[in-house]
Amino acid sequence: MRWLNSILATCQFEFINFLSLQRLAVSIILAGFPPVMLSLIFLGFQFSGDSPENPLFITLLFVSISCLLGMLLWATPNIYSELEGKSWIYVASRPRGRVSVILGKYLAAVLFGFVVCFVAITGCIAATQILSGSLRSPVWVWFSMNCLYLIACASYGAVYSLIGTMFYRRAMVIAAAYTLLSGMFLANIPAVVSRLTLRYHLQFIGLNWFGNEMALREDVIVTHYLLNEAPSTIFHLACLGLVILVALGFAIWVVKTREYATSDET
Amino acid sequence: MIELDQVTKLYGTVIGVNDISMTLEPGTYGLLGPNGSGKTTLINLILGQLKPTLGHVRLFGRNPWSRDSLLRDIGLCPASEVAFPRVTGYQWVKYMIQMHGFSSQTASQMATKSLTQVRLDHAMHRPMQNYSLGMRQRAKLAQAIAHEPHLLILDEPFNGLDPVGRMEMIQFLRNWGSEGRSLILASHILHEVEAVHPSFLLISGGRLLASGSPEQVSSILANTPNRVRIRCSQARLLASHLMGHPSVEEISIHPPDRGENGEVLHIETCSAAQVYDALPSLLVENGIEIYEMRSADESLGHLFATLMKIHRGESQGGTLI
Repeated sequence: MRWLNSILATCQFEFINFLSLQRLAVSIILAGFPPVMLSLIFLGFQFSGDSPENPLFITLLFVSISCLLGMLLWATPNIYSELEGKSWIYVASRPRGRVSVILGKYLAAVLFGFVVCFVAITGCIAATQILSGSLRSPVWVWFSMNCLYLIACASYGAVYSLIGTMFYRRAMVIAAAYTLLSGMFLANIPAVVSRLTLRYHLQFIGLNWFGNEMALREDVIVTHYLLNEAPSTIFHLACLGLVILVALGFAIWVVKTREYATSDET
Repeated sequence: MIELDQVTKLYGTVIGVNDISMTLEPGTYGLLGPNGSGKTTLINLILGQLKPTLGHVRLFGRNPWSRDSLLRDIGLCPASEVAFPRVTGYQWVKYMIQMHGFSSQTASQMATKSLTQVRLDHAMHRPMQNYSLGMRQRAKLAQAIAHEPHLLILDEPFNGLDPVGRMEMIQFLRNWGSEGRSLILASHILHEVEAVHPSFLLISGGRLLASGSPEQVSSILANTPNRVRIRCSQARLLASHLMGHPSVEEISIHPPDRGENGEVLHIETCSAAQVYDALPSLLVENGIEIYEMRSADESLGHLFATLMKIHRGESQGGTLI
């Protein structure tokens, strides 16, 4: 219970600290970017008297960009922001300080990230329905997509927290490199190695939950399921849960056993 | 309470602290050293924030490295400034208390109590960004004492305080010590630390050069080159007698400050102690009245220069550990 108090206190403190115009502006841009882009695409097609083949795929693409950028911004600099703000020694000299900073900031980043995704998804689904009405069960898609991005925020947040803890001086660069390498490169390799990426598991959960709405070509779906032996949603959730636990556990171990020397040492 | 056994801390090839051994029993200690002397590194080693490259540190009988539970009994007021733009002093202190595992309600009460104790209650709901340096210093002190630690460690606590604030801080620290709780006060200003009446730990270049009571530190100074300022009646007569003294190198006479009587003698000496020994008989025999006498060179820079000389074997005298 005492641990929970400290973690929630850090999360609450992050929320108070978060409410700056700059950060809110970034959040609004990230949340507004997917629906605005989707609406522009719809309007572009309307001018040519056509409609996009797969609006849900475009939604996933833009919301994923917002989600990843948000998590990169909020989960990665967990230690560096404390060192830069010279507040690290204050939290580190508390019995629960180090662990609370990792878990409390992780929790806050997941919540910030999810709020951005929630707004973006809601805007995208609304835009899709208003401008094309192509979704057969929009409420289910909206709900399952929110669940998917909550899991995505939690998974990427955990990995970025670990990167922020291990490589705090170059955390953003390394996290961005990891995202590009794993999300753009490894996940697209049609081999077992793609299973090691978060995107692989998130992709399959999405496909299982609302794949029927995505108007994917039948051969794509068949290839996916044949190649990957049709793993169940539970399997993917368990894999992501394991990643979260391992990443956060390792981050806690690192933060508890590592020296974070500040420039103040004299 | 604290034991350091041949502790050395290296930052790459830079030495933070160099082969320090000491044992501190509960009490009040002034950790004195010029900027960059290793005070903060030593504090971080004691707190277990840094791991010694060589040697061993024991805090309350246990190795503090990665031993978070030991931090419950310690209050730290670091030198670094924090200023969260939208966070009030109360919110910050409460958050710091919650890091000890206290519930929100208990932390609220403790935050209010400690902020009142440091006389910041009138401004505790204002954003810290709007605080003056002195107010931030008080907020830092509040977060350090809120959980009622056994050992309070303050790193440069007088920074940014106006004279009234300094006096209040000194009074607070004296009270803290008189209540039987332990205190380590790190500073580079001798007279501020001296006012708290601690035992001294003198550190420079990462080395512990000397330790002891204020009297022992004064005795080190008394036996080293110094400048003595004496305001007295018949200053010229006293100067003529002192001119023949072997330890006196130079004497100059100055008018007193406005509102003061007598004249001021500045005596350059190679051993202030010998001048002090000679003075009583001279004063009595010649009927000279002394209004004020102090050593003008009792600055930390001079003290450390002297200690470094003693440490290197270039000078005699003083009590080195």
